[in-house]
Amino acid sequence: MLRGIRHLPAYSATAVLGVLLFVFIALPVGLVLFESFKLAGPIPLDELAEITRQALDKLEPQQRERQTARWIATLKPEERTAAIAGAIELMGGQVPWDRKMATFDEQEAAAKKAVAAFSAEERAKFDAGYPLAVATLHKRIALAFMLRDKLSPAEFDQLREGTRQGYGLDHYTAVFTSARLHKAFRNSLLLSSVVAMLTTAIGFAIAYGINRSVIARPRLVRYLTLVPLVSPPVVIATAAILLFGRNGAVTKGLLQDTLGLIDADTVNLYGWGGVILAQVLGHIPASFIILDNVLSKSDGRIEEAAASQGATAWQVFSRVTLPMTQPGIVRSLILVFMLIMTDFGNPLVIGRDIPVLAGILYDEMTGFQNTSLAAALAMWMIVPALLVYVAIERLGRRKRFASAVGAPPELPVPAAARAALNAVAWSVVSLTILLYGAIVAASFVKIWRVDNSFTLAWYTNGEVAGYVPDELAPTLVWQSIKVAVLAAPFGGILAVALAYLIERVRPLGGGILGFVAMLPAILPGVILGVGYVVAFNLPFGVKNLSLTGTMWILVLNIMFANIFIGYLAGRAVLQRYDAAIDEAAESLGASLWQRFAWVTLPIMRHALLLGALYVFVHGLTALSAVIFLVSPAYKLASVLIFGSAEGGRYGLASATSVYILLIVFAVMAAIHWMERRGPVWARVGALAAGRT
Amino acid sequence: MTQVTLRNIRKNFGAVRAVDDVSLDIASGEFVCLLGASGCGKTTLLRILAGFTPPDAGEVLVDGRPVHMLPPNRREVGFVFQSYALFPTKTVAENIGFGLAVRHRSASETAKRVAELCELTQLKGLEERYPHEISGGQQQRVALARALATNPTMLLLDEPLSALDAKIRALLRTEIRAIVDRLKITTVYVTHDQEEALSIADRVAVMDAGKLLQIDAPMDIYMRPRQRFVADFVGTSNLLPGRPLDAERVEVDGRAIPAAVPASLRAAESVLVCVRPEHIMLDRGAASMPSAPGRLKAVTFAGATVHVVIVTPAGRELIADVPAHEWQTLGIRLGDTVIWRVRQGAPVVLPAGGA
Repeated sequence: MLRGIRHLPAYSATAVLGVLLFVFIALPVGLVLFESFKLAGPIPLDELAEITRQALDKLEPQQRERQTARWIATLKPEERTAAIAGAIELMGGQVPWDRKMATFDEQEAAAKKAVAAFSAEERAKFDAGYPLAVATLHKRIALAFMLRDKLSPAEFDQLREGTRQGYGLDHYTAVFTSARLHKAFRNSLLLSSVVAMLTTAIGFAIAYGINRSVIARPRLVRYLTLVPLVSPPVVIATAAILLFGRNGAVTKGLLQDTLGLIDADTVNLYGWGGVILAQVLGHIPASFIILDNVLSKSDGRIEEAAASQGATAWQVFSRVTLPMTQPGIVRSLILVFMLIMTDFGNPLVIGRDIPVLAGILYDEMTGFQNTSLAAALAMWMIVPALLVYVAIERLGRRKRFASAVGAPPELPVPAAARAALNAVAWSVVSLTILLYGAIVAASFVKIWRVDNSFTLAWYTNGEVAGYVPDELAPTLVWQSIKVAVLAAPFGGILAVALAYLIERVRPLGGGILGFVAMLPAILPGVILGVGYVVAFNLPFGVKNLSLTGTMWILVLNIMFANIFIGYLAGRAVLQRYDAAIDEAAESLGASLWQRFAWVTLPIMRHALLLGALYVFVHGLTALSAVIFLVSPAYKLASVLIFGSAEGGRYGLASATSVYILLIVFAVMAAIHWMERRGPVWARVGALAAGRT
Repeated sequence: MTQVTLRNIRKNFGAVRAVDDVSLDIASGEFVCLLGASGCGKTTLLRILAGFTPPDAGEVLVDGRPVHMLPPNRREVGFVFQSYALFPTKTVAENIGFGLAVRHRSASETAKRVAELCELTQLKGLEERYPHEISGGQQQRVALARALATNPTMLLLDEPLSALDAKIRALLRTEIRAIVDRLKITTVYVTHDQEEALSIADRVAVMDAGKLLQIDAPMDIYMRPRQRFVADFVGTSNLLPGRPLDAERVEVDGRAIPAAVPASLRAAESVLVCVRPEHIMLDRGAASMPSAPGRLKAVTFAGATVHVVIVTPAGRELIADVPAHEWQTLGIRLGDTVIWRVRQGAPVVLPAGGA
């Protein structure tokens, strides 16, 4: 009893957090899964007739008489023939003519003959059923609108469309039965596998080189390698087109026009090469962070032990270093694979000729509102990676190489390896500089390589050569900032509060809460995006609660999709401190709130800042979830960048990207200056493990 | 016969002199302990011996051949790390057999050698376990077996027992010494634990601030320290500043204390007399030369001995250890006046300056 009272505030707080996490994470994700099994199918005629009859009954008898009489009178001949066939079917009879192959004239004649052939009894039955058949087959829509106020939205839809929801695996099997989806699925798998391997190899080379102090200017390499992590979407794809496209500065400008080596119309990056290039460069940070984390924490004494046992440099690397890094390598492969499976930005901008599953999902969702198929495709995107992950967890003995954080080994790296590692790292860095340079350059010219005169128009009113785009960079950047600024502090506080409750108060069900908070980290952004559309279009059937089309759905999505960073950071901090601190405060008379505010929050200030910063950066750069949630009333800069890049308006896309990059860097520099405790983005990154 | 020679070894890390002109000869089959506080350079010296850290100056000779330019994988040394540094991805047997595997020895030869070592280090039955599945003491044995597997010319151990609890530490210490004696392998052992060093080594080398201060048999290190730091670091000492009176006596606070003054210090203006607590004897009764009075300031009972603190009339505090059975017969209490004297021939006279 006393115990219960003591923990009452904690349990209330947990309950509130639990409800929030359920509504804004678990519910949308669950609904996506549910939605993916939904099928829309036509309602059989007899049931549809029953539904129509019930609707007709809602009319005044007189009005009903008049209405049906008018409907029958105004039928077109072919409608009349179909209604006769319907009425015969409703009587339980066989339609005695060929309804598919015969011409209308033949059918009409056959129908007349059939009606004439009825017995008196049959004729009476037919006359009674005919008006209903007419209404059911031809006038349901008119009827539905007539009765709109008397029907529930679901009844209205059902009557109007004559279809209803069923459940089945059709959307899942479509990946195998539809040639279009099958090809996209294969492309996705191939692209993701290739990019995962290349990215992990390069990420490993850079991380290894930096940790073994082999690479020149390691801090610079590290920062530049991480830049894509905080970049707005499709920057690299856009930049790649500017440099290597049909009219690219390198392909056309240098190689074709200046050197005469190639024909840029045929030799350019569109297609597999370009998509792979953009995806690899964009995802190196994710791989690098994972492997850097593993390599920097491994005990260098282990490699020294191998060397003192007589192993050569190559033997040490292949027999000791690689096996020890293996868990990190596998994690990097799976993460990058999954990120590529679900990314539609770069493939849509650069590789429209290579359809991928994510691209089709985007089209289905935005172009056809086919939410059910989109949901099933979203599931298909995570299934392969999850299968591999589960298989590895099950098959291999769970290997956890918890070793004391040690200094790197003092073993010399052979000269050839040094040169190769430097070459890889500096190629990546140079390419990164080149690509971002191209973005900056393109943002200041009217039309890239067509009219290279200087302009600030893309940054201001967008007026270039008399043409004004509907959306302007400053407007949407400002809208993005508003969303990010609203989401960041709440996201940060929610995250550390959750960490505190789970780590210190340890309420019943805390583990489940933690799992729900981590869901967005595991699941791709598209799932949460689609989930928000499904869940909050008409929440619990109440129209006034609808969030779609507002700014708030963006704020909520960005907040809840990214609180896991602050949560993880908060737990990590709390695990380092003795829980007795909290108990000491409690025994000195501090309430739950006082303990949290005066004792825990100061300890967790870093985690709070980190969590809020991550939410903020994501608010500015995220594309995959929010693209389904923006509306004509409220758009975001990242969506503008994607749309402009896809539409070939590179100047606008570039200028908006530069805006976003400047804001992100400025905020990070400010926090860095405030904290002076190492590069903030490296820590953001270490926890983010590179989600896009 | 000298097997390992370190000649004028120097190593700086930035402005820090980690090893400062150290020379040392180690005989074949000898067990040498490098003893010192953390940061004194002992581990750096060991890593120079192993080849992990190249010295800035000086040379390392093994069997008369210079080896200091050789990489670690061509040194033929067995190294046991403080963190064990076992290969986490390999089983116990694979860990021990690693050195043979990289030398492309046959599987049967490797298996035989691994079995021998498991026998020697009492690891039988654990061959197929992974490092994280065995205890700290067992991991330590694996590290030792791995270091010995290739029959190295030298065994180097870097604080191998510091991560273990006291009881296992004492047990493994004896075992390591027994194994080393059986194999007759030249061994260098780094530790900051003086008890460990004194009990395990043939010779103990005391280091401070990168310098090798004294290398001697354990008994001599304790009984005959040659520097103030050694006297202070190894065991407890009363270090009393004084002036030599003649070859047999030193004047401390106006009283003569019997101590053999080495010829080099007889003319010195001031010296330090090192008196171990067990060499101070207490008594009641009248004070007469060479005894002196004092007041009992503190008493700590520690089982077999009683630690007491006496304040002399000059205000100097002396620590003395009295066997518990003698203490009972003395019958003195806190605040009582006692007389004390120093056991004949026990004090050591040291130069006053320096560390």
